[in-house]
Parts: sequence; structure tokens; C-alpha cells
Amino acid sequence: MADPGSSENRRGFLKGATLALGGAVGVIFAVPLVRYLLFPVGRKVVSSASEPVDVIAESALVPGGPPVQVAIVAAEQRDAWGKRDKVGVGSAWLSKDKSGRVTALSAVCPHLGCAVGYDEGGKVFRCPCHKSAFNLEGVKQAGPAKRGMDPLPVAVAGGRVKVTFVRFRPDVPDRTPV
Amino acid sequence: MSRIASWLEERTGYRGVLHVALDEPLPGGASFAYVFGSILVFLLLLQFTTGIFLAMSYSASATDAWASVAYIQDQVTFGWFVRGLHSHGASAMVIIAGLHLLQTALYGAYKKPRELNWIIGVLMLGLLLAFALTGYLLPWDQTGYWATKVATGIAGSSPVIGPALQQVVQGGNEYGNLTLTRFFSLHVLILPATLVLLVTVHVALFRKHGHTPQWWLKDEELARRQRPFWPDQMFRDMVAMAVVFAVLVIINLYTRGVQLDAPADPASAFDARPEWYFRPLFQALKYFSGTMEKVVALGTPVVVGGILLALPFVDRRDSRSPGRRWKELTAVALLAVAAGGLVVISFMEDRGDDRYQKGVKASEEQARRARTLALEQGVPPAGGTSVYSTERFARARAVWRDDCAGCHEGRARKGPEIASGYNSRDWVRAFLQNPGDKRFFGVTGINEMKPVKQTGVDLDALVELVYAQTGAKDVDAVLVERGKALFDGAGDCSNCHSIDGKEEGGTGPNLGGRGSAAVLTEFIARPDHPRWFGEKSEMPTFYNKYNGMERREVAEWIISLREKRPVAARGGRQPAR
Repeated sequence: MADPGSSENRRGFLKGATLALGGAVGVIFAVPLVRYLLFPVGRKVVSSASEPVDVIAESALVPGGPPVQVAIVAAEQRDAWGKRDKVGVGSAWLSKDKSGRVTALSAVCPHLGCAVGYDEGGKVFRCPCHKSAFNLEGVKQAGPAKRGMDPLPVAVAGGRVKVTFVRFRPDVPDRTPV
Repeated sequence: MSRIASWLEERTGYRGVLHVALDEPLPGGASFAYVFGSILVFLLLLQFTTGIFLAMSYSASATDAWASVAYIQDQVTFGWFVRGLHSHGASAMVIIAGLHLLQTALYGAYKKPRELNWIIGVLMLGLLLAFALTGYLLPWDQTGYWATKVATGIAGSSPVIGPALQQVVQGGNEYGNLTLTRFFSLHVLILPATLVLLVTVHVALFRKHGHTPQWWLKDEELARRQRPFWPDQMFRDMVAMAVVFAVLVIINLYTRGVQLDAPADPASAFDARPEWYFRPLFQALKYFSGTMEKVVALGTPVVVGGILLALPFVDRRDSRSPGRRWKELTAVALLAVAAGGLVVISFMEDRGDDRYQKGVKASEEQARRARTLALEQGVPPAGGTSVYSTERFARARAVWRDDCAGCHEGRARKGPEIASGYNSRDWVRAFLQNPGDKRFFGVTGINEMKPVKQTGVDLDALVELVYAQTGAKDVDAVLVERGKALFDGAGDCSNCHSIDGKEEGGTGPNLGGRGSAAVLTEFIARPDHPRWFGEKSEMPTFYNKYNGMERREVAEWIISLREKRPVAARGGRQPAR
């Protein structure tokens, strides 16, 4: 095995073969690991039923009154391995105009996703993080947000208000659901 | 390239490091006998890498552990592969560590001045077993749970410190969240940190004293055959690593990774086996009972470890020739043969044990069921075994689809509708007020019953009486008494119906126990029994198609519908899922 007359050629071959073998092992090992790592990309690991969620009695909203914040609680949520019932997925601001039409705005700031609050005195929605401001219709008034607040599908049936929660990509001018 | 290299060299002096690391001279030259240490380093890196990846998707809590491992196993891309490699890699480490020990023992590498390195090696072997033991529990499946219970039980039977030791290790009086968090901390933080430290010292001491060359070569011959580590030995190491890796991958593909059993269920009776490398002790314990069992359980690891640790101090002669130290080598060989023999005997016994084999089959089936549910339904917050709750009435639903839905569901029904709210008070009320409705007997040939004339409290009383027959718990006894009076009196019910559950009914079915699990189970078997519809029955009999348990499950499922609120009447159809 240890031939004392080994040449530079032989040593060169051993070096090359060693590196090649090591490289092959590394590559074969890396493939499943990288695939494992990329598993969540583009996958709905967390998902909840996209049905409209009953949030509040319609009578609780005053026509032309201040907006009301409601929690949107999904009936069921799958989160990786888990399944849970009644999980809060987000919140919305509900308003009823003088004609009785109910609208819902997502409380997720379209800038970077902070929770938008309502400023009673100024009658505007304000994001506490980066000072974006929106009027009661959700139209942007000030701040870094690239679009107005995101309207959510809302339906009134049997005296109850139902809202479908949708999350949109933040910080882009157009609304694309994520 | 070379400019970058010199830039780096000026700032780090890496060439010197490489020179020290790679150009180590090996007296006697390279050999495949020396590959085991390198393979162990390779396997250690493999275990660290796969372990880190597994930890990305693992949750160390009693409610989430099994579910997260099931997720890795059945959903994450290549999750089963990474997990299988980690588990098989642990076995490989134990095997290669054993071979490393035998090789160094044979070459006399434990002798002066290398005693300390031998001791560190023995300690690391113990660490490997601790890794295996703690890792086995982490999936929180049946095997891991029950096998580890035995191990912590043994620790708990140690003299004096036993109970305290057990509670420290398992984090309290019982297995639970703290057991997992402690085992997890041991497995991924404490043990790896300790092992890395010991490996570092082990390799440093190895480099200080050099490798232990062939004992049969004279010094001049060793010097003549001397070669540097790189590339002669490194090539052999790499070939060995590649072979081990290839074998691991092939075994892993062949076994489709490693089994994940059903979630740990403390209420079950599970016949667990430890990992194969703990089988020697497992098997040995079968031959003892009582105090001796404890002595053997606790004493064997101490004695075996003691023999190995004492080896360098017992055999202090200079000569490394195996012929001169055959006694010591025989002792080590006997330990290896005894361990191997007990492993073989243990597996042979299991193979010949029909009851055990049946249990294995059953637990595999259980695991398949649990994991299918976890995959399809997700695991509820109660975790682990609660996954079975997502499968309630699976059989009943299948029976329903095959033989019930055709007549009791949808527009083309031939029998009364059975849907959410069936046999609830509202349902009974609607039925009594209009039994000939299309929802009820209007679609059948048995349409003889007249609507109940009573209203108000009297109607409530009759509703309550019929509702009470289902065995529901929230019955108003006063109303039921009133209903009974009406049943025999002004209600005119008893002209056609009995309600004692025994007598064969009159023209109408006997209402006793109507809608209860027991009666439904019997009714489904023989609706044409004189007690119920007799010759008028249009429903097939099922006594010879479904057994009592199946019919009972269908009955329970129908009862479960009672509590469900009917979905808006649109279409009049409630899907039976």
C-alpha cells in the first residue's frame, strides 16, 4: 500500500480523486437538504378557510358614525402540522355610511403591515409605525404608504355582517393577494 | 486566484495551518486500518447537519412533538430522507465507534502515552449512547415513549440518588412537556457541546502523540514507509467515508427512512423495543428479576465501562504485539461477542414470538392510521393522540355512503330525511305536526299517521316525551310525565303506538327508546321486526350485512347529528360527510 517509489503523478491522482469523491458526497447530500430548506417557499403552510366570517350585528353600526374595529376569527386554521378552531387571522374597520351601506377596510397597513388605528379627533385612520394616514374611505392622506387601505369583501345577511379576510402584498401600489 | 491566496496568506497564515493539518507524517505509511476516526468525524458532521435541519421543523412539546415529526416525515420535501439519515447515521456511528475501539485496542493505541486519549474515547462512546437515548424519545411516538420510560425507570432505581436523578432527567414526577424540553436540550445543546469539546481534545492528543503504527514493523521499516497524511491517508479516509455514505443512503432509500410510530399514548399497552444497540442490556435483563435485575441493569454499564477504562492501566507492558497481551484483548473481544450475541438472540426471540409480531403489525397499522389523519386533517391542539378524534365515525360514514344516503339524503329520497338536527326537539316537533311531510314519511308508502292536534304546552309535552326516548341528557322530567298522560289519553297515540320498548307495537312502531343508540342499532338490523314497522317496512334489513359494531357506530353517528344545527334549508339537503 505504501509504495516508497510513488511518483508525483500518483500523488496528483490521489489528490484529485479525494477532492472528487468529497465533492460528490457533498453534492448528493446537499440536494435533499436544499429541497428540505425550500419546502415552505410558495406553499400555504398556514391556511384558513376563506369563507366570510360573521363579525358583528349590523345594528351595532351607526349610519355615518365612527368606524368600528372587529376581529376576524376564522372557523378553522391549519398551521403546518396543527389544526385549530376559531383562530384570529386579522382585524378590520367597519363603517356604515348614511345610506346604510357597510364597508370593511383591512386594519393591516398597506405600507409595512402594522395595525392601523383610528384617530377619533382627526377622523382619520393612522398607522402608528410610519405615520401613514387615511380618510374614512381608506384613501391615503399622508405618509409613506403606496396605496390606500385595502377594502375587504363584506356581506350583510340576516342582520349579521360577514367579512372575508384577505392579506395583500405590502408596500406596492397594486393590490395582489398573498 | 493565486493573488487572492497570497492576500489571504499574508493576513491569516492559512498555509501554515494547512501544512500542519495535512502534511502530518505517518510512520509506516497510510492504511485502511486508520480510517475509522475520520469516518466518525464525517458521521458527526452528517448528524449535526441533519439534526440542524430536523430542528427547523421540530417542536419539543408534548402536544406538538409527534405532530411535527409526522409533518417532517410525511409532508416536508425529503423530510423522511433527512430524518432517516439522522437515525441510520446514529446506528452507523455506534458501529464505526465500535470498530474504532477494536482497531485501536488491537494496535495497542491505549498504551503509554495515549492512555488519556483512550479514556476520552470511551467517554465519547458513552456520549453516543446518551445521544441515542435522548433522541429516541423526541418524536414522542409509542416506541420512543415506552422504551425511554424503561430507561428512566432504570435510572430511577439507582441506589440513594435514583428518584432524584429520574426527576431531574425527566423533569418531574411524570413524562410531559418538561421531559421533552429537557431531552431536547440535552440532545441538541448539552451533549453536542460536550462531544465537540471531547472530540477537539481527542484529535489534539492524537496529533500530539501521532497515530499508533503497525506493531509488526521495526522502526527502520516504519521510517522507510513513512508518508504524509495528504493525500495518501486522506484518500483512503475519503474512500471509506464515501462508502459509508453510500451504504447509508442506500439503506435509507431501501427502508424509506425510519419508522414513525403512532403518537405516544400513556393509556395504551405497548410492547416497546429499544434501539438495537441497547438490545444487549435489554436482553440481559430478561434473565434476571427482582434485586438482581436492578443490579444487572445498573451494574452492566458500570462494569463494561470500567473494564474499558481500566484497560490501559491493567496492560502496562511496552509491547504492542497482540500475542503478548492476548488476555486483555480476549476480554475486549468477549465483551464485543457477548454484546453482539445478545443483540442476535434478542432479535431471534422477537422473530419467533407470534404475539409480539402481531403487536408489531397492529402498531404499524395504527401508525399508518394516525399519520394519514395527521396528513389529511392536521393535528388538533390537544396534540398526539387527539389526531384520532378527527376520524370519528369514519366507518359509519362509509356505511352511510354505501347503503343509507341513497334513501335518507337528497331529493330522490325514499325514506325520511336524516340530516343535521335529526331527532332534536325541533325535528320531533315538526314531525308530530306534519308526519306526512316530504321530509318525513311523505316520500314513503307508510303514510298513515295523522298530525298531532295538541298545541302549546301539551305539544311541548309530547315532543319532550318522544325526545326523551333518544336518551338525551337534557330532558325535562315534568314535561315527560305530562306527555305520558297525553300519550295514553287525549293525544290518542296509544291507539297505534306502544312506548315500553318491549311489546310488539300496534299498527305503528313501538316508540320505546326510539333514537337511542341501543334501539337504533337493533332497528338498522331489522326494521321489519314486528316491534317496529313489521311487514310495512320498506327499508332493507342489515343484520347480515353489517355487524353489531358497525351498526352501533352508524347509530352513534346518527345521534351525533342531533346536536348539529341544520344548515339553512336551501335545497333541503345536508351533506353527510
